Amino acid sequence: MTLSLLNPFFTLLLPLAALPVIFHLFFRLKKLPRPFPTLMFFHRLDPRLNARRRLREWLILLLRALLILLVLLALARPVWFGVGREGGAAAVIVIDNSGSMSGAAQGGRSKLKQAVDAARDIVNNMRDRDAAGLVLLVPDPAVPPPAGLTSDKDALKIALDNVSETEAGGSVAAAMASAVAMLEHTSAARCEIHVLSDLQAEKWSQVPVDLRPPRPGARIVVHRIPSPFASQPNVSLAGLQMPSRPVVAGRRFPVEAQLVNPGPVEAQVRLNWLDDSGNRGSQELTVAPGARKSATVTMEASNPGLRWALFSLDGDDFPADNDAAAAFVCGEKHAVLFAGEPGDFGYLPLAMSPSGQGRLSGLVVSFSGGDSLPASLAGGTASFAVTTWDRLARGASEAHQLLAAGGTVLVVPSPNDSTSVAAMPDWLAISPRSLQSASNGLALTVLDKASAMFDDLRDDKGEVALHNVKVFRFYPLRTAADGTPVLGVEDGGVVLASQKVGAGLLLASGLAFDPAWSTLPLKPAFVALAQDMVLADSGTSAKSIALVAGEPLHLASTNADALQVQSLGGSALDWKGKPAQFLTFPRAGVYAMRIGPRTTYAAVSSSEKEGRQKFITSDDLPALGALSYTVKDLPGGQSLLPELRKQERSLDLSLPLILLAFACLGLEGWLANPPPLKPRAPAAASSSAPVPT
Amino acid sequence: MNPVSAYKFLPPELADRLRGLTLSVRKPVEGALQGLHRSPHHGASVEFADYREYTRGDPPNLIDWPVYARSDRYVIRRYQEETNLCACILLDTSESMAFRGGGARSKIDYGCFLAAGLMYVLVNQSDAAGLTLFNEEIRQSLPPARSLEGLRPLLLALEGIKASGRSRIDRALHQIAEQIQRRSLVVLISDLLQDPVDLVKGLQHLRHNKHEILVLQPLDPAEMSLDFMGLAELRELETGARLVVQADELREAYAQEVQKFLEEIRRGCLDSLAEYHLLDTRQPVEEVLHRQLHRAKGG
Repeated sequence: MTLSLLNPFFTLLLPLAALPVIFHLFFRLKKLPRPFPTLMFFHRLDPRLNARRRLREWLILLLRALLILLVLLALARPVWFGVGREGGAAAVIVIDNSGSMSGAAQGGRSKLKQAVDAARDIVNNMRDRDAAGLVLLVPDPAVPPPAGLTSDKDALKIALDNVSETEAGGSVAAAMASAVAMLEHTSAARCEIHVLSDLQAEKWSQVPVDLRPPRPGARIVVHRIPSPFASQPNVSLAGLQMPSRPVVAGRRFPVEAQLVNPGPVEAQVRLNWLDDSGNRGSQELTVAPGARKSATVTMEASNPGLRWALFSLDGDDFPADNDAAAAFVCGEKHAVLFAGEPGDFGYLPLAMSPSGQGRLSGLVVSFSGGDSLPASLAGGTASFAVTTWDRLARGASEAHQLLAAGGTVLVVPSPNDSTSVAAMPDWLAISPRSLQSASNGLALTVLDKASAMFDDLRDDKGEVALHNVKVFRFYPLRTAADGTPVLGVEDGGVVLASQKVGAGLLLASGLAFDPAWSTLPLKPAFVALAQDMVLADSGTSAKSIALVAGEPLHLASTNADALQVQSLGGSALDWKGKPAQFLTFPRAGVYAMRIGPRTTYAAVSSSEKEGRQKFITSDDLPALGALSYTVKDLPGGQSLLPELRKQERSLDLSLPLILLAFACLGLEGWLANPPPLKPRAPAAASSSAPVPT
Repeated sequence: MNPVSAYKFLPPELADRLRGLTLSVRKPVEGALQGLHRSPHHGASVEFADYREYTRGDPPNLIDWPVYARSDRYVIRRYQEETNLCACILLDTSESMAFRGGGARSKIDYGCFLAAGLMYVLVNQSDAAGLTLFNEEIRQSLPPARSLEGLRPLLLALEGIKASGRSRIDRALHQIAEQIQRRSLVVLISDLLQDPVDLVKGLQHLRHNKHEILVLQPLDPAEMSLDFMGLAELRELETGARLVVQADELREAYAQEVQKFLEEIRRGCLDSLAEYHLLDTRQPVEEVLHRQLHRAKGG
């Protein structure tokens, strides 16, 4: 039998019971006594008048203090459990199905299995008038629990059978809010919230912003599932770093996987990856204790469209933080049209596309030949054209049309050209001056360091590394206000500049990409620079989002539209319903979310935090805020039923306390308003007739 | 210059109203001068008293010869000697007399007016009036004055009174009874707030010494009945003792208790052959004096 306060806040106000005494003493000090000739008559009236009055005064004060005390205690709702009437019980079972629960409990079974068994025990022992509800810490679309409270044991058992490990963090506050909402309208005499969790510190140390208390009378019992010390190392896959540039079909790209070993033991793991085309690979990695390590995997998407890849770790003790996914949209191969003969462009075509067909670089080059820009350029499929200064002068209108349509034109001098260039069109803000030579070579310098064409040339500090390029011949460029210098030489001359023309971009070079003009074509950086000039301005239209399992999902849609979620890779899921009902992804994978005609892709990785081996061992749970709760260790195999049965009998002491308070009030009123004192019985001497004066 | 014009307790209008009034006593008093009042001694006067047998040594011219002719007995006609009155006014100056509730003035002021008025009337009718101030003992005794000029220090003494100390009326009465040698009129002005039994003993002592006693008891209406509501803490003026009372609870019983007390006082005065008057401080002093003195004159 235990006595519990359902609203313990009011016990903090118990000192208010001293207010009557304080007021009494305060006003007694403030009040001036009234002068009076003699108190003789009062003493003659009743010699014990003062003592009687004092006694009555303190009795009144005592009753007033008692009145406040009883009212506050009644408001605190004391309930005596274990006695009184027995009624139907309503129990909400909150199961922590977060990633940390997939760890092993004592006995070798997973903590989640132990929690599910304990919940099943409660369901099995429910009586006909009892009801129970199920709330998962991580909402799992694959396991829809019965809505609200139900007495249907079979439905509850099926739901419990389907509860499985997730790789997500989960929200204690959201789960408790769901549990409290379930109990709000029940008519059961006894309400319980049973939480089954390992109390991982990551989740249970977070102080909630606003946590609504359950209905009066409800009791929260947190059953802690002890976590044994993990002797084996655990490595988490903390994230994937995709390249910043859009992926192009046929072009290789690096993916950087971040690994974390929070434990004190060195870990040896295998990083596996698998893409949507069935390509797979693996790496053996050693991660030092307490260290982060990154591993780069080079991947290639052969076809345009949505592509994805799954990464996983093998070889550690804890599996719930070992998965990550990447989803990306692979663009078409880029067509680059060289207006002229291959010999007019030096090493540039080879640098852009070594194979010529887009393998490795994703760029497909072609040559138009002839002395001018082809007329079909404006309406063609190529968005990137390379021409010489002479040809630009002769086909200015075609080039302008391509630029106006959003294309890019790179104009370069021919390596064999040594004469002055023809007159340039008026819209061109950049024009070459006369050819200059430097037998010893001038150093090439970067003038526009923020340009996207240098993204692959930056070092760890973000500086562009050209590695000592010397320029021997060049046309210094004259740039008007619209032109932006990009590359220059050490004497201040500009050798590469850009100009926005309409929606397009013009790149003008005073330097032929030939070893006779500079050492740039001989440098490895030249390949990256040449390809980045093409890819720098390319974009993508499709969207994909990266999420961590358990992270709240905010979909910009109305409930009128149906949401369909299908897994493309990783954990299987096929779900359809209202967007508001889909709260989060519980496991890693790649998912397509369709709302009406719009499709969004999500790459979900497991939560790195779930592998952290820190659990709350005290009875103080910050995640439950100001709620009143009890923490009990869940012994293996022991039934929760005796506990539940015991709690079903309760006696609410509020009403007796209120009645006592009313009794105090009545007694206080009687004492504070006494009937008039009866006169003294006349003495024998004064009973005779009065004598006239 | 009017000799009473400057006195606080004998303003000209009061003196004007009292002029011409007389105060006489019911019993004979001893005086040195011939006056309005009967003397305990028989002698030459116009007022016949009684007869007594002639004894040797009596002057023969006092023998009532017509009686001898009728009864053959020698008797002497005796006449009541008239003498002047010496009054002693006892004024209670204890702190309880400083109380002023619903009355026009405090009891001590009211008593001072009474004392001044009585002394003025007595002196005006060629009697002597002395003043004794007391609380728990006699504080000050002023010798009797026989003229308006002689009344001056007594009136000034009244103005200097400050009510203080506790009251022991019986002790003052015993002391006065021992001090006054000749039969006199003793006027006691006090609220008489003490045990009536002790008070009556003092009065009986005076009576035993054959003094005429007049007791004037000025009381404030606020002490005869509680005029406040609810809970109040009262402080006794003389002792400083405090008592918290619920007025509504005690009002009726208190008023009855006061009436019982006054009845005991009245009965005690009657037993001591003292003339007793209860005075309400709301009543104008001149009206009270005028009524009492006029009645005394009338009979």
